[in-house]
Amino acid sequence: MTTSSSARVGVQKFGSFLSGMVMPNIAAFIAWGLITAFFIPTGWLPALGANPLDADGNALNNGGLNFLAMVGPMIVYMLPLLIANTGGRLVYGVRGGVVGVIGTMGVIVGTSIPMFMGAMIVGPLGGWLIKKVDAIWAGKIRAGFEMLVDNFSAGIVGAVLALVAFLGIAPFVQTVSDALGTGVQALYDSGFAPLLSILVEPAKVLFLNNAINHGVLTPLGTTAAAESGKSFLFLVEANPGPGLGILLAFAVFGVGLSKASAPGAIIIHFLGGIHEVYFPYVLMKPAIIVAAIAGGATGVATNWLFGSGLRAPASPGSIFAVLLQTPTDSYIGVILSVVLSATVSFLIAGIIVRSTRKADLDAEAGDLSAAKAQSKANKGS
Amino acid sequence: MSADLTHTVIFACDAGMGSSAMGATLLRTKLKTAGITDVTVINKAVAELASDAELVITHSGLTDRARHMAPDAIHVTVENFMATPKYDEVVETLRAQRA
Repeated sequence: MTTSSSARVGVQKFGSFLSGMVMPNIAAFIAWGLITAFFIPTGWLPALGANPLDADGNALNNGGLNFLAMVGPMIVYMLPLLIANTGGRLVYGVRGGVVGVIGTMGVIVGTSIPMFMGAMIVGPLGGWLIKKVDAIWAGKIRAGFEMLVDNFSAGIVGAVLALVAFLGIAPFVQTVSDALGTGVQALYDSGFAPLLSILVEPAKVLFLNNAINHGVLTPLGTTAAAESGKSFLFLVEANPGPGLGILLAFAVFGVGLSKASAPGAIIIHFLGGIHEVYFPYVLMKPAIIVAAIAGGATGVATNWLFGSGLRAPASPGSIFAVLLQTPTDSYIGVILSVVLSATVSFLIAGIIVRSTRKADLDAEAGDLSAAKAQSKANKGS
Repeated sequence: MSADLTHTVIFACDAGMGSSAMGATLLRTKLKTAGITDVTVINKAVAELASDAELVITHSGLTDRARHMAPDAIHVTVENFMATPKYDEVVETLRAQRA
């Protein structure tokens, strides 16, 4: 294994550890996004969300329906605790998940913001701690006392971890979260947010897409959306536009297998939201990454211009998921961000694919293109 | 390559939810068409691969990690999830085992 490939494996492993805590719980993010969409005052069914107020500000009886009351606890408790449980599980199974959840209660209560980052730290930490503690007396417990020891060791470790998290980890995580949030906001306010695409798009096609989106952007975006109702961060990676443009370019200007497979890939990518299907087209012709970056940056810039964003993560990154998570005031910006990013990436990718068409046609003579054989040889090591 | 019959094919991707699920569906269809009924195709995250995996399919960007997780498995690398001759090769391998 070469240095670069082992570095890549290391980054991928860390990245998928982060996204692995979030992704199994995306359904809960969607549920939270839907409940918010229906019942907030500007939502689809605000009357069922909270008791309407009369002219004096007194709550009127709406039949006891107060669904909006779920939105806060879901983001403050449910989502971070699910992440903590999954994180603890990744380290040490169900038992690790339980201790991770107990400990994460400390960071949740010890801070005033939704504690995604805290959950992503304390969840696995809890799993790791109980794993180490179990190892101390593994094989030494008298028959019949296993359950007593297991329950109380996990209970005590969890309780202590919650206290430590409350006192020590919560202030630290709050500081870091605030700094990150301020940083992202500053990037947004200054208009430089489209530069994010320079990092995001190349990392995406190296299969760090989930790591970046769900490891970093989903927690940051959800925190922002809890305050302002939406965040552009959910679309930085998940916008299906750049990939659509690239696939269209291959469908129109490509040759052989890549041209033949592009239309099917468009359906799976754009409607099904499986972005991985367009990565091989970029890896085949690395210059195409320029199209992805320009398309992605166009999308971010469009959302910046229109002040638009999504309510909750669009996962998978299908146009249907994107539209379902678009708040009513963001339809124009979000739809334009998809259309314009697809247009820009199509134009640039089209030029690149067109300019190498002749060489590709020659290479197609050997059935598999030289580039693909070469990349296969590189990666086979 | 092991002489034993392979009964489980694992399609693995980063999250174990997206492209691997799609690849598993494509392969299941091909196996059904080929009349091979005693092979189960499942999809999971690369990080969840166990060392007893028999045959693992991954995209080339993830094969290094998959090898690390399941060193004893047969590893098949694909470049393009949609159109790859590799699926047919896997079907052929499984059919040959059963001939």
